[in-house]
Amino acid sequence: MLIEVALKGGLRAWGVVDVSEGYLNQVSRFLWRWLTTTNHKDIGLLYIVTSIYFFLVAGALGMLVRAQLSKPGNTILVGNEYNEAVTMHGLFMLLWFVSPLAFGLANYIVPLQIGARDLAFPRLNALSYWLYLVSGLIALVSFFAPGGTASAGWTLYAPLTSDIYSLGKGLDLVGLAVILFSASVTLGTINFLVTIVKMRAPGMTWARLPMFSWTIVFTVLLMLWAFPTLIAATFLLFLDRNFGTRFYESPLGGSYLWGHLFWFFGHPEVYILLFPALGMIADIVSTFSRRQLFAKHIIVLGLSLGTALSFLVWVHHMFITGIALEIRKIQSFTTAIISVPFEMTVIAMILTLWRGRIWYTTPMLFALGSIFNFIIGGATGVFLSSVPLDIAFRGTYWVVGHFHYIVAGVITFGLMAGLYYWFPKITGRMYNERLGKIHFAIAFTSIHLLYLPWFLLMDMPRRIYDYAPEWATFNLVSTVGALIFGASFLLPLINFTYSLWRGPRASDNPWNAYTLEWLTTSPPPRHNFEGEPMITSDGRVVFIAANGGYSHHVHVEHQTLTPFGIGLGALLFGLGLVYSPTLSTIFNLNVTLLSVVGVIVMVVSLLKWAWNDLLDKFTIPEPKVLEDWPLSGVDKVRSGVWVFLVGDIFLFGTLIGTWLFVRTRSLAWEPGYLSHDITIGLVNTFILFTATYFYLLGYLFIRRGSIAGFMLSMVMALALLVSFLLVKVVEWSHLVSVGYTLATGLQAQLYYTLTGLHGLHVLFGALATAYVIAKALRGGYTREEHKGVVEIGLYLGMVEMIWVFLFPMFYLL
Amino acid sequence: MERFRASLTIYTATWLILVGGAVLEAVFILNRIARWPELFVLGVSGFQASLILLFYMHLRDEPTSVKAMPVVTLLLLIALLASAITSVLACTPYIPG
Ligand code: HEM
Ligand SMILES: [Cu+2]
Repeated sequence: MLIEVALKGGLRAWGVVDVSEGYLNQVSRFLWRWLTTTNHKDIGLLYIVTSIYFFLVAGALGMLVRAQLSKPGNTILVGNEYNEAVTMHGLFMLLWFVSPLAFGLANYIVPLQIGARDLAFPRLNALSYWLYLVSGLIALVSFFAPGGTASAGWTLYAPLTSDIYSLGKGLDLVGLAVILFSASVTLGTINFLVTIVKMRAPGMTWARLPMFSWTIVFTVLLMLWAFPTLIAATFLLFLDRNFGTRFYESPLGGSYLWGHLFWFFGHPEVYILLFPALGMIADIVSTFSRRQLFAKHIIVLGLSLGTALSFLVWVHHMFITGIALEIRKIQSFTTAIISVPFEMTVIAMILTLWRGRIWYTTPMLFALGSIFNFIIGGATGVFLSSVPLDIAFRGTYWVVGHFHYIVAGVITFGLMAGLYYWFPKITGRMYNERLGKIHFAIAFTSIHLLYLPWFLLMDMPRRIYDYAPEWATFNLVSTVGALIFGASFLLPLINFTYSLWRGPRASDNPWNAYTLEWLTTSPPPRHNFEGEPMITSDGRVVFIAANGGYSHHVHVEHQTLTPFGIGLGALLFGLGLVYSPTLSTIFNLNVTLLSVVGVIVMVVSLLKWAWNDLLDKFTIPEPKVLEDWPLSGVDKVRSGVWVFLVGDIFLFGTLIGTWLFVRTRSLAWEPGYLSHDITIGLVNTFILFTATYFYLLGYLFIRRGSIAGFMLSMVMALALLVSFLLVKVVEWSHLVSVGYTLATGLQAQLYYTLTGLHGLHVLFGALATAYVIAKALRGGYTREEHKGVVEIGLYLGMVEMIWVFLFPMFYLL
Repeated sequence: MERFRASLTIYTATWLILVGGAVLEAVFILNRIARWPELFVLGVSGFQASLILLFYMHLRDEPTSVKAMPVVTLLLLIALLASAITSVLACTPYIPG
């Protein structure tokens, strides 16, 4: 009964009401609506709600940790239980809460801010969301795996993650979850980058782009470079644990390898977490001081500097390893430098406040609190950039204090500010201002109670579940602070839920803000704007009546179940790793019924996706834009492919780097080893080069309008790609038959991993070519209209380019 | 028509050089002609990769921003590899002896 009322309430709130319809009918319509949606506002909402759920999970874990630490000798969480809680608290907060909430808001707001109808690739956006949800669920489920979940700390340091120290399949589930999450992020990266570059309304120049959208640009650039490295690193971990490779277990520097790969991702990741929050704060500060942001172009410049530099500081997480002193010195310097752009940003915001007519609303208070916390968090970080100081502080509560001030004090405050700020726009209702201010007051006071003592505990090691009595007082204070801080987040939950139904109606622009999202209704119509927004040269916004071209009806037929299907398949696959009858075992990996079903569901969904494309079901006309520098002249899909290729090159770059890393430790390279059969290598090289050549010939033919030449070349290309794979199969089976297996050593492990992954890429290339042929058979390509052909060619080019390096690596050197 | 011919010539020439490069690499390494095999191979592969990028992937026709993408990628990768390798070469704790 209660559930029914709640469900009906939910249905009404999400706008699926039709009293004449039956109850079951409504439920299925509700499900259909949300499972098949590709609208950016829907997906934004899904992201927001899901991320808040994971926030509660992570928060509960954090509270448990604080409860255990409230006094020495507690037994709430002991030993590995404690380690699991700390590990998963960190991972859930950083991966499944912060960025998803930021990107939920970005999903909703960025297209509005730039005057677009949607993101560039709506279906990809839906896929991002489902992969995100599924990855989080798999991480959750890992708690119940025999042996428990990951317990090696959020940094997953080797060799703690080896199957000696991390028993059971829990860590494998977490690893899979991390990979799926990273895949989701990478798709989002492509989407947002192309959207912001290519789909801004006429007149929305880079200079006029609001700060929030700017920070999303930098965030996705960072993601593009960082997450493929994480995928590669976690993939190797997965192989180590399930296929008996020893990349990270090797006593010859295996843990170094993880350190480098993880932190090459990890430091950019902290900016990935930070930037969107900074952007929200900047927009909010500007709105509520009734002033333009001070020196906006300098902030943008600073952020781009921070983006570039963030890839040159990761060694500050490895200062106490035996890394060459010179390198430590250099990165100590770059770390000190990188704080400058952020200091500039803070100063610019303070100068914006200066002489502003400040309006103290809840979002503004959270933004101000966030700036205040940034000063503490930033300053304590600068201490850590010094090698000698870090040697003392490393692994203590000082470090934990430093990054909690940033992640909780700056980022979570910023995200809260954003939620309050855009709540009226998204829901069309005002939240309760007084309750919001009480939330701020409690959160802002208790956060210092919670985290300031940690700086005074600078001699207490982190990641311990019991401690000496001399640290008792500060720990107790901190736990009290945690209780209050945690409880304060019940207020926005109540506030938002209540206001969703009972809040007073919000006007279109309750804050008198300047940015474009406030010029449409609250909540916005499905097609975002009535008419085409356009910004004139003097900065006024006009709406031109929309006729023809890019009409909002495009969205109606845009519903599709395939992204959800792919996500569902991934979920079943993950669950199957642990909870299903085993069919057979390959190395240590159980092939189970459920996993197989999962793979089938995924493949079927992918095929359906391709089939829809084949029928040109979801083509969206290119929007009319006047300024799309720097991608002018490159259409949306080609832009997306280029961005994807960069990410993919990072994936391979990381693995090739691993090869070099192992190679330079000559001790680990099995002596007396003969390289692989050069003849086979040369033959395959020839085949691959020729395959691409024919593919490109096909491209020339279709441009000339010669369908016969096109088909012939494409069939040749396909045949050659398949031959490449066949040769590979023969080669591998021969190697295995002479005893060259994964057990042989690192060289063999690298060989199989790298050429295997490359082979997988060739397989995708072959499938794509087959798709082209199928579409051509249906008459899908003409001289004028052959979209997609050149993009697949780009992909094949990249596959070939990688082989150009793999060939000498394994056959010649 | 003209454009077809020109593109065909470029693709074919590239293909020839790519295949030739691979054979050259093999011959030089097998007969130990190259003094610094690693550098030699890196040079040839780098050259081949640039040809693919420029002519197969039409990078020469793309706007500057797209041209910048591979360059930035390369720089970042070099940073990662260089530090990782030097730090391994210089670090002591894990390598016996
Ligand atoms: C701006 C947002 C920032 C975030 C989100 C952030 C986050 C973090 C995190 C998560 C760690 C812990 C790594 C571990 O698990 O051991 C860390 C450590 C560190 N942070 Fe930050 N940080 C930020 C800003 C800064 C700044 C501005 C500096 C310096 C100028 C800095 C310098 C450091 C250093 C040197 C460490 C290494 C400490 C150690 O592990 O020994 N951070 N930071
Ligand atoms: Cu860092």
